[in-house]
Amino acid sequence: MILLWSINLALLGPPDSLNVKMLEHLNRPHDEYLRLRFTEHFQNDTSAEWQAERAISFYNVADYKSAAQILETLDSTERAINPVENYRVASNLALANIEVLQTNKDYSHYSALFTNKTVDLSTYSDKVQLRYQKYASVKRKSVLLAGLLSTIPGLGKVYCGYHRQARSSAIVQVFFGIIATESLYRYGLQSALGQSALSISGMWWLSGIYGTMQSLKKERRDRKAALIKAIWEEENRKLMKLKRIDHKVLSETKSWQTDSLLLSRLSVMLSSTDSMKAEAEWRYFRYCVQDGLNAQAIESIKRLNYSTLSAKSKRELHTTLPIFWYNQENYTEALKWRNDALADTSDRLKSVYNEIHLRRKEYHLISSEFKSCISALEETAPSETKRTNILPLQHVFLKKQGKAITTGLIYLSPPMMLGIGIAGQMPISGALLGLYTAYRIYGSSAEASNLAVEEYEKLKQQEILNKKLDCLNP
Amino acid sequence: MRLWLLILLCVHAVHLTAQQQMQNQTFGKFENPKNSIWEMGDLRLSAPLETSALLLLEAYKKTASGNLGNSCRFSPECSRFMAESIRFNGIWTGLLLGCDRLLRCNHEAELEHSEHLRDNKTGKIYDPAVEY
Repeated sequence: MILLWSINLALLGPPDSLNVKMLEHLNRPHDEYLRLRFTEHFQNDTSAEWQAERAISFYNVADYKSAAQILETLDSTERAINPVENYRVASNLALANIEVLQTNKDYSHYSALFTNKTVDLSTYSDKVQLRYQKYASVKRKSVLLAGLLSTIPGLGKVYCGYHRQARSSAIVQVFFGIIATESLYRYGLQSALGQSALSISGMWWLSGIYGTMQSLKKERRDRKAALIKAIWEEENRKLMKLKRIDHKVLSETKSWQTDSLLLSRLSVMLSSTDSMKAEAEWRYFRYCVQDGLNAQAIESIKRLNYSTLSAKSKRELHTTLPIFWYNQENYTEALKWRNDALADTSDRLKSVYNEIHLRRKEYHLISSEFKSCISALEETAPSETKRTNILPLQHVFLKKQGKAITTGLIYLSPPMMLGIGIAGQMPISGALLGLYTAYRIYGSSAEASNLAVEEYEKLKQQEILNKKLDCLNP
Repeated sequence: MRLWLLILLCVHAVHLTAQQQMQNQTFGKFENPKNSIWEMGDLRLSAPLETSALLLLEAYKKTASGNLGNSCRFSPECSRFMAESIRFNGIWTGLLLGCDRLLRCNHEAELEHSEHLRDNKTGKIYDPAVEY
């Protein structure tokens, strides 16, 4: 028994519920309770900024009722805040409003949209009305009826509203239907050719029926999701407005690109201890780098007291900062951080710093002998390749003989189909199959030729880059 | 004792199935798209039809599709969509869904998907098999 259990444990690992409980235990918001106690000492301060922080604190300890009460009082002062001058208050309010609005909302008056057959749309906003009309157009349609109608090629798709799809799928289904009929007429049901033609055309026919039903179901799901999203946005208009304020304010101050950046900036402001502040600052720095806000990143790194960072963040810092300074072309800082990192790092990371060293070397070499090496290489760069829309010919231009032969053979298949059809006394089938394969193969020829040229040029560029790097190595 | 052993084995089997299902769910939704059927996971030798269909699709991808360029209008492309739907729904349903996708994959039908999501990298219509 024990053996079986141990095998079980070895195969499946420990149960997930254990880990979840452990995580819940570790993530209990002790800091939030402390902050709440702190903010409650100053509850008489009626400034919007302070009240917003109180609301956030209540929200963080899941006391949604108290948070909502504070937010109600804030409504009157909200208009008085100048968001451009005080983006912190605007963002505080946005944060405080986020899930309080969601958790305390009553959505019951929207239920008619999903249950009733006739709905009085005048009570809803334009956006919800539009989304509902789109949803209602597919909601009324029966999946079963769509399937039944699809037994006649294309009719089911017309019923669902996919007119173009109906046309194209009906053409293919009728093509294969004719091929099956002709082969049955010539060779009978007992022959292998007749049976295979019948099964292939049957597969197309059945796929039309099943696919129409599944597409309708998917469309219904998608449009319902879009309607629910519109309702959420309608109900949380205040929140959306605040989010827009964030966008406006922070785009005006040119310090906003993502919500994560805003949240990390806010967490720096709200952090109470040095280590928390350092961690939040480090997070803010990373978001700045991700968003390409280099000026803010440099300011942030100057503010950062990295001695209080955790070991993990310190490791990240040692990997990121040399590269960051290198990219900023501040080689002295990059070298300083590299040496600093090498002092206390593992072998795994040494290759990264060596790479930086190599690149720095490259930078110095550019000014002297490396320049001549590059210019010599650039002279050997390939001239512009000949372009054509016929793929096999394009491969000939690119000097790829193997690919040219393979694609040439594939391109010969439509006339071959026609030839086989005529030889087998099935000229109509041969012509139809030839047409279908020609449409499939020749239709994408121009696009495929362009792709082949792009791929070739990319490879050439990579080759030149590799040669340049070879020049660097002694 | 035998009863206990039986119960334990049943529990083990249920665990394994649930785990497999979870892996299947996460595969389509959150992981990066897989380019080859070998990257999708082990082939099920217990289902020879499914395996042979997947091998045929792989052969098509390596020969014809690979040489003709990536000109499909959807993301993931039709051959991978079919492979995925065979994996998720079994051979027959998967084949039907894949053939339906082939019926939809043309310039005419593409215009009707204008409301759908587009793949950020390729600009193609995002239409994975897990959503069916």
